[in-house]
Amino acid sequence: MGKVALSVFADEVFLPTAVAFAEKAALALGLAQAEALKLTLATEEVFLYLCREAASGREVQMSCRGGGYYVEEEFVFKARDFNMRAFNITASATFEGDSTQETGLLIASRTVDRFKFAESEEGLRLTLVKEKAYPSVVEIPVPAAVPLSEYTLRRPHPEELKVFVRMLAEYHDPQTVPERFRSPGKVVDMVACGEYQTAITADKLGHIGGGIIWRRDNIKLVECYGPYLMNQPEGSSMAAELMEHCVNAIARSGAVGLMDQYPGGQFPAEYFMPLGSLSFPAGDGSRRERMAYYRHLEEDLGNAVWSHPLLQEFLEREYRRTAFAREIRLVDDEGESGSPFSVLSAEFDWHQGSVKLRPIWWGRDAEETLAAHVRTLLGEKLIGIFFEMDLGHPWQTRFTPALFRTGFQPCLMLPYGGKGDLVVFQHTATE
Amino acid sequence: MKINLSKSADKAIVAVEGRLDTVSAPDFEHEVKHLISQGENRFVLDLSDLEYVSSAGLRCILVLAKEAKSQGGGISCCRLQGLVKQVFDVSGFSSMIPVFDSLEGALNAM
Repeated sequence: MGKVALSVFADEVFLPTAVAFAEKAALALGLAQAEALKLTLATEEVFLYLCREAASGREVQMSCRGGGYYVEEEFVFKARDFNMRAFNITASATFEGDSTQETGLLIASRTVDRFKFAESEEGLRLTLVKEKAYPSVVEIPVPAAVPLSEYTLRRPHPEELKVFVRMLAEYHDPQTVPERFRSPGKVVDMVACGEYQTAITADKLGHIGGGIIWRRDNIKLVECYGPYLMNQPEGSSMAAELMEHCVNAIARSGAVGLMDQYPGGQFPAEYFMPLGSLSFPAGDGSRRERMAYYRHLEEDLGNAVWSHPLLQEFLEREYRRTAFAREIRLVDDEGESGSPFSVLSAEFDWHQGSVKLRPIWWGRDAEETLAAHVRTLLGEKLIGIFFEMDLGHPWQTRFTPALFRTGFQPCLMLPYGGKGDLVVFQHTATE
Repeated sequence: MKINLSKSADKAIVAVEGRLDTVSAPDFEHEVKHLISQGENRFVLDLSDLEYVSSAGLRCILVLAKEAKSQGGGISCCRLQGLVKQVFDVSGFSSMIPVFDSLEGALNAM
């Protein structure tokens, strides 16, 4: 944990300074040499692009922050032009002509785990995230889960948490457990840094019967995962008790709602409002639905959301059904200037065979960009292609016509899932 | 960055150690161009001890490959490790320059 910062001019004479800053900071903040080197490489490529193309001679604010299981590096700068199209997974490198600098950005985007791009009062803000490397589930036998007649709910110590994570992989379908909970060591770090919280049920001998994980998504929303039970009898009250434990823990947090997109097998649905479902093919050729649920923690005082007219009908239907008070503000293209290029980020869940696309930047090639992503992702044999639109950002709604034209349909509204409500689109080829 | 030179028949083996980045790429380019000026035109780049290559390093290898080709020769790379292998793959560079797992394979193929 911790944060270090550097203010430097985008001049190649300072390139070694910027690169050394990133490498030393990454190591000091907990990355191993191999991961620190990848963040260093990304830094060289981004800084060089700023020097030669986007912000030559201008001041760049760099910072590195440790997040326990990752290091986040941020560049803040005022750019003449910053073309992020190389950050698309569909981009290809070229070493000829004017596009050579974009090859550097492509390398940068592929050597980090996540990136964000946003406009702020200080200028453009590019954030790169590199996670620590963790072994996947190691060859340690998973304890057999036994039905527990007597148990207590408590926060697990790190070794118990690792056992719980191994049991998740053993006893639960990949569709119900996010990819980030596949590595025991990573989950321990995620909890230790305070980003996630957990509770388990265990008996006096230390047998684990189940557990739940939750995190504060933003100021208004807590997201939970599970409850996950391991070999407990049908009709057990354990899942409801775990959920109530989670609700009590967040009761005075100021959050407005609790959402669960990964309900376990004995989910206590009676305390929640169903939001809808996402569809995945099961191994036997049938389809499996994964429900999403929401529960109010405080009275919903209403909100305003931005929407393209094409999405209005879906939103009105969903807000009517779920009784959320929302003022829908319509946004449409009225001929104003915009970037020629759009950028999407892609978060893969290889265990589920799914990918979540998120808009980073809107551009006039949005339809072409989406179509290229779909072609590439279907070629990867992914069985679920999703797109998340944050209705708190009006520019994101400009993707709506391109989404419909490239085969996406809205299927889920997640209240307070981002800056505003989130709408999840699913590509029809994977519905 | 450190460069070690050796010969195998009519081929020059250039073993590059350390980092090939924006700062060191001009030195590497200068060294190999000097060899070309002395009549060498077939190069095997042994990258087993290269821990880091940026787009500036790739661009430099490409420039040298074109120059060697114009002299009737060429460049191949071998024994890529870790991050260097990843950078070659994600940039598509592996399909532009012949890449081999072993030094012997690179020497035999040239």
